[in-house]
Amino acid sequence: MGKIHRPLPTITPDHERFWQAAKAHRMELQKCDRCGRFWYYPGPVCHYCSSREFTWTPVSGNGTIYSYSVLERAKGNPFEGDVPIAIVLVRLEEGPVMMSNLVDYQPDDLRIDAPVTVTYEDVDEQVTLPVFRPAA
Amino acid sequence: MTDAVIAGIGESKIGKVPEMTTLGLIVDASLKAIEDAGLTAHDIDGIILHPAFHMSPRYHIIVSETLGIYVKTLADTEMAGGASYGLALERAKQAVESGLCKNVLLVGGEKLATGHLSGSAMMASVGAHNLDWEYPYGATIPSYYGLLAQRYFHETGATEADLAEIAVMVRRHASRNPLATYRDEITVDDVLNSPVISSPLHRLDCSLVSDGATAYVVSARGASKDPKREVEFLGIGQAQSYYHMGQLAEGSMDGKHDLVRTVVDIAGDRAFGQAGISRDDVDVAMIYDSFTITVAVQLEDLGFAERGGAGAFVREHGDLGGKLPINTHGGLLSFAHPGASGGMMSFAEAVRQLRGEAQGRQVDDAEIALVTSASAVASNFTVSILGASRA
Repeated sequence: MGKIHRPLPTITPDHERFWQAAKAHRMELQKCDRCGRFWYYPGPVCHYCSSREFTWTPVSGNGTIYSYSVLERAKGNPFEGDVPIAIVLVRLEEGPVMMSNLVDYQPDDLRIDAPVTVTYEDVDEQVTLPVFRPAA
Repeated sequence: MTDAVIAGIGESKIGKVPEMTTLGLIVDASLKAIEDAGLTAHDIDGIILHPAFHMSPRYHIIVSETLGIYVKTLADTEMAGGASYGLALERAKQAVESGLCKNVLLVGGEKLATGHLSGSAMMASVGAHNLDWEYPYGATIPSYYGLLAQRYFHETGATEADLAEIAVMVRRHASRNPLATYRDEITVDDVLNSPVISSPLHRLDCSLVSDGATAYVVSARGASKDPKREVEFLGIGQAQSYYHMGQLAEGSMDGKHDLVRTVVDIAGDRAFGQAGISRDDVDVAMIYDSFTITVAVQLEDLGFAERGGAGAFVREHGDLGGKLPINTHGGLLSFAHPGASGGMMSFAEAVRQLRGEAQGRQVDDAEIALVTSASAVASNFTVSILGASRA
């Protein structure tokens, strides 16, 4: 996969910490101080128990593919020329499911339940995106 | 209590309409619907607009000004994407039944084929979808439905060929509709051989990109020029879940719903409960077909087809003369898909079927029609059950 012309996220106080960690090539998620669950995407409250008390906690970055779709045609989008793009839903071993990309993969790696691990794409000064590659 | 009915329907020219503006299309559909109901623009005292992707949230006022409707006691824009018109129909029905309004105009239109909206502008303007946590990964609308379809295959054992059956059947219906954009019949192989847009979805699994507008008028029973052409509301339900694909995948707390087990069953149960009918009583169905997978999950979650069996169900029962003819006008897949208002054409077709006016594609003795709307990656649904006039 070549460099993708990515539309960039807007970094807000709700999830600044997530992006700071990604910049340092770490993944940190909010863990609820009350029910102990992790959630994604980052936000101001635990959507399982409504607690606003949480701790930013490092996660393993390991998970499995929940589903995938390879984008082949993207007319009118900024990444139109960057296809194919492997879009995956990854179920992290801590529980949450995130959308991301699979990179550095062989066709056989792209299957549901395949193990993957996080890696990082430094997009610009502010944004580093967590993406995934097949687990070794 | 006053009972509300659908008194009139109107459709603009559809397909590629470079000579008309979006406002022109909306006005055209509105006036046709008002005339179909035997009313004039001055009889309208409520308006709900289904906005095009780029419109102001106050576009309903511009439409009112253009049509000359000065005083309204209900005026709003419903911005829930492909589910808007189903939500608005319930509001219009309640407005008439409560005495708030006498005649409510519902209208939507869009120029997707000859407008100037790029994919990214559209994604941004409708928030389709999560701009911070999804769009940076290069996901487009077909990608979201591709993720849904791939997981659906994994959980049910269904295949691309099963989804293709849906496109094939909807096209067969379109072949009987002289106004449909695509009328040449296709085969399962044609679908499978069409280019992949976002796997596992091929071009022919995806709906069209069109210009067009549709309108209808909701009035009190007996208010139109011909009560025999009024269509009854038998039941309406709606349900919405989540939006971000990861959140959808995690599912509901009770474990009953997730990405591939949608909440359309909740909307359906409410509609069927109000109508007091069973699935077998439905004579014709308009199932929102933004993609073939959208139809598959709805047919299964609504209890028409067994799990993973939507493709076979449509092949066996979906044609004219079958147990449940589906999308007899040709749907978003083959008739037209002018943006968020595209599914309004499903309601217009259901009304034609229940009036016995679906020339060349009429379902015999159609008395009960079911219409769904869906948006936000099969997470936001309405189910409406309509009945032929009792007059």
